[in-house]
Amino acid sequence: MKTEQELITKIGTLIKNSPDLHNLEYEVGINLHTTTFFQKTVSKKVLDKGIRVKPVDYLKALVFLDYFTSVIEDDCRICDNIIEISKVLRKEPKDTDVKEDMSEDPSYLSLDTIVADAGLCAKEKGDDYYSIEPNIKNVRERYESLKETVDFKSGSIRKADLYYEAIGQMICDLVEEKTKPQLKEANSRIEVGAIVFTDSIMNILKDTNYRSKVNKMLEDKEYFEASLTALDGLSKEISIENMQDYILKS
Amino acid sequence: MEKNKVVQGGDMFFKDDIKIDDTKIASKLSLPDLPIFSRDELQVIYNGRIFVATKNSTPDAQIKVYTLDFGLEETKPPKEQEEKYFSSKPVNELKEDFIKKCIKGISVLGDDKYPLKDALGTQIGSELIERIEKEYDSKISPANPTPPPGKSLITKLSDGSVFNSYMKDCERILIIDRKVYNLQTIPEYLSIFQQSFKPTFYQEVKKKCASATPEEIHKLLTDNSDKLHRKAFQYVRNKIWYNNRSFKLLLDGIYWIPQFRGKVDSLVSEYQTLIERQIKIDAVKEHLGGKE
Repeated sequence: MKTEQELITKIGTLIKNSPDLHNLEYEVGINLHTTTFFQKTVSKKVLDKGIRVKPVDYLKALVFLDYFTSVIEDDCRICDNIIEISKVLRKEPKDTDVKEDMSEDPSYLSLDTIVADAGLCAKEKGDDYYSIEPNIKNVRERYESLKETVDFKSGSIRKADLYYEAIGQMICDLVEEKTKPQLKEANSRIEVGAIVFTDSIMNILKDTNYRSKVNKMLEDKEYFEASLTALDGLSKEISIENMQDYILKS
Repeated sequence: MEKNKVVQGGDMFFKDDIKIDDTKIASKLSLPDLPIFSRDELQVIYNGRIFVATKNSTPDAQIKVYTLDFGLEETKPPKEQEEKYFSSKPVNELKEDFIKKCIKGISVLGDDKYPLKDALGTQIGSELIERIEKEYDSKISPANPTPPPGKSLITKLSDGSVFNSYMKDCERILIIDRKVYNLQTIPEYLSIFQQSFKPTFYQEVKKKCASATPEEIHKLLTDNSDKLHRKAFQYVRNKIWYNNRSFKLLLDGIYWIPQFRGKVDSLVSEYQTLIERQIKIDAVKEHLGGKE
């Protein structure tokens, strides 16, 4: 897989052949391809929460939260946390003008803030929680149950048309350039989710040992393990104080 | 008795034995994948014509999905797709099966040298066509399409196809992933929010839509956000245009917004009935003759 075109075609094919997670449609506000993106990559339970995220981070944050609430945990408490943070930051009373640019509104959080909150959620579980096998057994089971592998060699595979190439481009644009080669090996939606989740954490994870471990796991296509290791590393670094830094930065 | 005996090639039957089996007229046919709806890619159907996305540049017909810009090219029209379908081997076999089921008293359909209609005359064929049409009449009626509100740069295609002659509410639709979207003009979309606008501004925006791009309408709305209810503002504006990742569809000189109508299944079911009717009528005409 040498070119970006091949990558977006592959991811577009993968997403086209993944069943819809739900059938939510939007008469107002949301356009056609974003609707398809939501139907294919973000569960209804996350969308229904109406999380306030800065527009530049919106799609990636939703995929991050979908992975966290479907695999890492089996509930949406993190979404409720985030909503509470937004409420506290939302200083404008209801009768003043709405900000046209959501990136200026502090109640619209950055992806880094959301990732930091995920780290805090993990921290609450206790040290090394996500590196001890009995604890991760349920997590692994959820991951495996969601792993609907697409058989690219099947005669009945639906080929990515130009519309789904654009959807593939949307997915590829979620990750940093250095992570894109990992996407080429993904064969299921949940693997894409794990890669996006890990990539989000790597944006703020500082520990070089953990970073090396995670990068090696990604290269070895151990996407589930990479996601847990990244979260484990983040849980050790994160604190209420540096969480507040992320909020202020955003 | 001898007067009624027919020798057909190597076969023989009696005309008195030839009867139409009415119970088989409405029989369901196992149709192969239908034309038009079997295409597994984005399609825009507009004024009887079918357009698909292409990497070729087509300045007057464009679709932008996320950051990718595509042209929209007209593909094979419904008539051509249907003709290929009706003349295919599986459909020809269905036609033969239908005749054999419907007409009692024959065992072969004849061939080019000894066509059955020459042996039987065309009366039975005419009668059967009448009964088929009666069976299906209650299920169909001719389409009476309303011309879509474009700039008439794309003329209506009246090609005599089953699709364009009978399918309703397909003058401006987009199909993707077995879902149908109606194509709304921007003023039609704005009308959802009419009560959220100051009246004079609403009229100003509607007038601007005749010539403005979605980006220009975005700017107009943004520059006059105080003339729109604050809670409606994002919903009004963002579906028309938000940033370089927004959707855009230009066809027939105006911009369109897809609005979900439903699954394609009901359109497919309607088209299936029409195709079935046509196959049966064609089967009779080909094998038994009858009214043209």
